[in-house]
Amino acid sequence: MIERIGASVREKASSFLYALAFFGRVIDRSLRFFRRRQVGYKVLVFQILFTGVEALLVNAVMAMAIGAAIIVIGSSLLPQFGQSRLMYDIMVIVITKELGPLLTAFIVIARSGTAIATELAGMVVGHEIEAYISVGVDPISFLVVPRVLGMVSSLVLLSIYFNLFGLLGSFLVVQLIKPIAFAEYFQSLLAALAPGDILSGMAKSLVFGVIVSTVASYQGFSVGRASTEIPVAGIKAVGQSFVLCIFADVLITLAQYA
Amino acid sequence: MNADTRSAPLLELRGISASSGGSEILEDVSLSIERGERIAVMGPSGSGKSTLLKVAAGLEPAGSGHAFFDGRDIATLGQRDELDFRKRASFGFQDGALWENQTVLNNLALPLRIHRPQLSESDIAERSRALLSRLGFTDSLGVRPATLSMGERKIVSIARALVLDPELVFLDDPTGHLDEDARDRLYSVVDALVRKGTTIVAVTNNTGFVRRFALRLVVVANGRVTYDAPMAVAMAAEGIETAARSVVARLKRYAERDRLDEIEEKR
Repeated sequence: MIERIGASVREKASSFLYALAFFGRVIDRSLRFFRRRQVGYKVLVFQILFTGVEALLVNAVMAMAIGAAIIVIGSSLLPQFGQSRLMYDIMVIVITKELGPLLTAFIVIARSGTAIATELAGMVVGHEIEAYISVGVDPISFLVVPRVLGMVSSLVLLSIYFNLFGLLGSFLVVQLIKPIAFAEYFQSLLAALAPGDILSGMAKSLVFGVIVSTVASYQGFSVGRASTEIPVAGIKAVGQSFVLCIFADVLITLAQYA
Repeated sequence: MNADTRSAPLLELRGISASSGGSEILEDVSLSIERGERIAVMGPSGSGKSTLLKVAAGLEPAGSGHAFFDGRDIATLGQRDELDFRKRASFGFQDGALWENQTVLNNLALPLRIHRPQLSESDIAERSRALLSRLGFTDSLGVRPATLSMGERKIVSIARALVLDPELVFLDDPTGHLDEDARDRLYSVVDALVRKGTTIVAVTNNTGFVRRFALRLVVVANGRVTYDAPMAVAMAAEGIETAARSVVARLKRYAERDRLDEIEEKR
């Protein structure tokens, strides 16, 4: 029994150290990525297209829906307490600092996190990674770094996009339900919005981007030889990314408000 | 290259052991391979032949022991030496291991783009096309590997291993999935490698390939090298140890059959 527990602890410690080393190597290779001519630029462009551009529609719909819901709920509840103007503060906090980055990260986890994990896992099972090594291509530099950089930049851009649609696009939705004068809406919004709110959201997106892309890549590379391990890598990548993003969100929020 | 590395064997394995999932795959394997040697690694399925080849090529880590290329430990090569090693030693995979998200052309072009940056894209395409055509690949180079048959994938994989004109080629089951015509074309390409003095280490149980190209026979059984001798010695030897006996007996049987076929043809 004790032997089994010991073996399990040793295995967990070894996986943790391996994950740390993997993360360290990804960071090291990311810093060197733009220093020389890279065969990975094409992978980077594809990653931005897939993670950023192709997620624009679902991101915009979600942002507008959340923004509209806050306006509709806020404009009917807050006046009862004489706090109508708080609606804009709540909108800015929820959209730019809290839900915006987190929901954007969730969209990216569901779309790109699974895609990266299963694609890399398929490459491991198909010996494609060994083939890259055999011709002198470092899989971290060629396969992981472009995905990390692509996902981080896409998440930051998607977060800005979420802010735009959540704050301005939702105005259009609200016109259909409960018309508000644009000038009043826009001026109140600007009064509530501080550059720090936008920067805070972008910082969260940056952290989430690093988490999702590294976890997905790590899980992709962690499979053995069986094709049945490929979907398992995707599932693990999603689960761990969700948990780590929420954990990071809590830590960053605590750091901001503490 | 300094004086020490010049005198060292091209490839040397010292006390290599490897395991997977708790079971031992290789146990204390040592081999020394000189420049220009052509080695056939034979043995039963699951005996550790492919693992031995991958450890020798630095594609799988050894649990213990060391693999040296040109006197340098493969596991501790710096970035520049690693690139040099990959340029000089290439690997043809048993199941192709083609990059599925790349075209056939890009599967051959990537090693050239990395190791021969002076080549233009048209030179790269021309060189790739010429090599594939010598191996009998006639499809478009713009297709993805998913559309290819197993034999065609094998051809592309071998072409990728040879496109850099390496000094040392590891071939894992080079004749697998190939029909007779494709095998003949592969033989003529390997003939050209032999003329150039390329060192070849092939894992195969194809007796035709072994008798035509191998200068040395290594038999692996249960993760150990159980027989290692020049082909001429192996073919002449009597009463060799059990693990290698069936391999050598098979080689002799096919050699005898070919000899009788030749006599028949002459008649």
